[in-house]
Amino acid sequence: MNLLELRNLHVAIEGKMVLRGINLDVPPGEVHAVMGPNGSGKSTLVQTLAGAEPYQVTDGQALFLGKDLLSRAPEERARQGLFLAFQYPVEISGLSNAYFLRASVNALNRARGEPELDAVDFLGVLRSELLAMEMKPELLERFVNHGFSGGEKKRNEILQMKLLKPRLALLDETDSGLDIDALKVVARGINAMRDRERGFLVVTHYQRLLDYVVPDRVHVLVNGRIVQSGDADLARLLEKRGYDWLLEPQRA
Amino acid sequence: MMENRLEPVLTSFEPGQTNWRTWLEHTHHAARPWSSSDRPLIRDESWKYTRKSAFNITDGITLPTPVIRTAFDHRTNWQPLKRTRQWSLMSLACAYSEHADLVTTFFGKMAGLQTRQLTALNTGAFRDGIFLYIPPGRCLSEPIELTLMLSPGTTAAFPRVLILLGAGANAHVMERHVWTDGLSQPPSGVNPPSRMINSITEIHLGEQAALTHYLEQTGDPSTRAVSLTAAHLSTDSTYQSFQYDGCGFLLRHEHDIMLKGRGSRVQLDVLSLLSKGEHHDHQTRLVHAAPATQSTQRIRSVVGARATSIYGGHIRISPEAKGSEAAQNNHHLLLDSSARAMSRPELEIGVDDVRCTHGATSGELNQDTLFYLRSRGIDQRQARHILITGFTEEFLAGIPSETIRAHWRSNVDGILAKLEES
Ligand SMILES: Nc1ncnc2c1ncn2[C@@H]1O[C@H](COP(=O)(O)OP(=O)(O)O)[C@@H](O)[C@H]1O
Ligand SMILES: [Mg+2]
Repeated sequence: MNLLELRNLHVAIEGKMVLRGINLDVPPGEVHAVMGPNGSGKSTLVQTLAGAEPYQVTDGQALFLGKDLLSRAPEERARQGLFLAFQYPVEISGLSNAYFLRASVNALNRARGEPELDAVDFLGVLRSELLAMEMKPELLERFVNHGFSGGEKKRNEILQMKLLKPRLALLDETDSGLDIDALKVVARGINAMRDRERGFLVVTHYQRLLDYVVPDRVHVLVNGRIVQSGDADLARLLEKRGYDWLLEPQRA
Repeated sequence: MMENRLEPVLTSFEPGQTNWRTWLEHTHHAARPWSSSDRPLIRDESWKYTRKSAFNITDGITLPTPVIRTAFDHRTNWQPLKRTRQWSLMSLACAYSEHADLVTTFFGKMAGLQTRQLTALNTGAFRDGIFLYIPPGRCLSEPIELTLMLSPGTTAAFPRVLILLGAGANAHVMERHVWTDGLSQPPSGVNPPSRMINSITEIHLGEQAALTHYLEQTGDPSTRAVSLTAAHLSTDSTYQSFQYDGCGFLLRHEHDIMLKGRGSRVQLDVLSLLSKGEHHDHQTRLVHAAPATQSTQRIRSVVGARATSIYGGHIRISPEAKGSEAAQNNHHLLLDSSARAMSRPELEIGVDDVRCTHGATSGELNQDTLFYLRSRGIDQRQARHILITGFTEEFLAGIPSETIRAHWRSNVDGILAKLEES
């Protein structure tokens, strides 16, 4: 069974049609990349799948693990094993990062019928992951994403992915704004999670990340439609030629 | 909660102290002309959103009998409290004989009659008060707690507190205003008998003195309380104030702070929780009257259904206050679409070389933030709770005293649990 199946998905925001019929299958164990110019609808796609309220599905279907996804609340989707690494991680003042991470892990543990972790147990789990992501321990004491650099925010997203162990991870431009060292750390984090069960939908504007996280499939999203799909070579072609040659005639 | 250090009581002034009686009569008399509402008062915009008449102070009303049987407990004999070399705490009446110079110098100095009718009303009606004096150079390691409580059946009260710190003195004072009837249940009925409180706390800090002042106000659905904290700060002194307003049908608090001495600093942190239908109004008036003075204000409120939270913040930087800094922030968190909030910053800057910043926000919980939490598997209810707690925690985390932080945190938790239910 596919992890994700999108059929003719149409999505509007504030009355404006952004996605105009997306068809996409992600089988277990595969990494799919979604590339495309700014404003083509990449974030709209993954935000809609995660259940963000402002996006309205006007037509089509989305199945996650064979079941309808779109009727479920965001928290239920997460509990079924869907994860979104945000393009712009949200800052939350008054809430410590460590508390937030534990609350997330325990929310999923509860849903899976697994025991909840107390602060001490959790810190044990956290320590090694933090080390792997090369993050300063003080980032746990800070408010969520407060005073984090761009790179620290992205690492914090991947840290969450590793802690929450989703079946399908949607990564929205996790590579943007990272220097080469940070990019390698993030890529290593993703690769460490790759296995035969888990799938990834990696949204990126550049092909750079895909040198380190080699995708099984690459889809090009232009103006709300997938206009081309191919293997990892397609990403390299796009890097060379840009997107212009793929733009619809009336918009080019 | 910390142990209550104050045993004696304030029921009435000492009999037989003719000097005090004479002084008190004098003081009442002096206040009278300023307390009538037909005096041409300075037009006061700060009352725009709160009904001043709620404090029963308009036209020709006879002053309610002062019932300041409010302090501490119900014992009848007032005695000077622990008198150590470190500090003295006693009734104003006692202080009038023991520290006559201090009382006559400082009483009414920080809270002037001319500019505020409610001050005149209090001054015309109070019968006694609390006097706390920390002599120069003394440091109190433990916080002092002053609890003002209403006796059952009290309909009006005029509490009065005078806190004086000598040069270089250092203290922590917790002032608790418990404006409930001592009943476990709030009175029922459409119009529960109401209580009016008009209280004034005056503070004077000598040079290099430092006061950390905690103010806690709790009331019930029949409480109408207006209170003033008026402070004068001498050179290099520091006034830090943490105020928590837990509950009260109609609460208005005013801060009047005069930064008189070079290098003096004030920090005001306020958290106000408004349950269904409550009305809380905070007014701060800060005057930077000397060079290199600093002020920081963070006024926060959590506003429940049909409740109204008001903030007015006036900052004046006088021409002599070169190199001063003032930062003012006001945040209202609205828990319901029927919650209301108003914010009125007013800056009067009389000199160039100053840094003045202010920011105000008012709104419901941020949808993006809620979604971020829910996308991690946290349900809507818990996500809301986490965010509201995060908001109150910004206030609580800054409180230096662990005891008071824990006490307020548990109080906040209790009120929020009810607020979030509805
Ligand atoms: N919250 C929003 N409100 C209004 N318009 C939006 C919003 N989010 C996205 N859009 C619009 O939808 C289109 C696609 O945006 P987005 O999905 O963010 O593109 P991408 O991630 O590919 O850069 C853009 O035209 C953008 O302006
Ligand atoms: Mg995007």
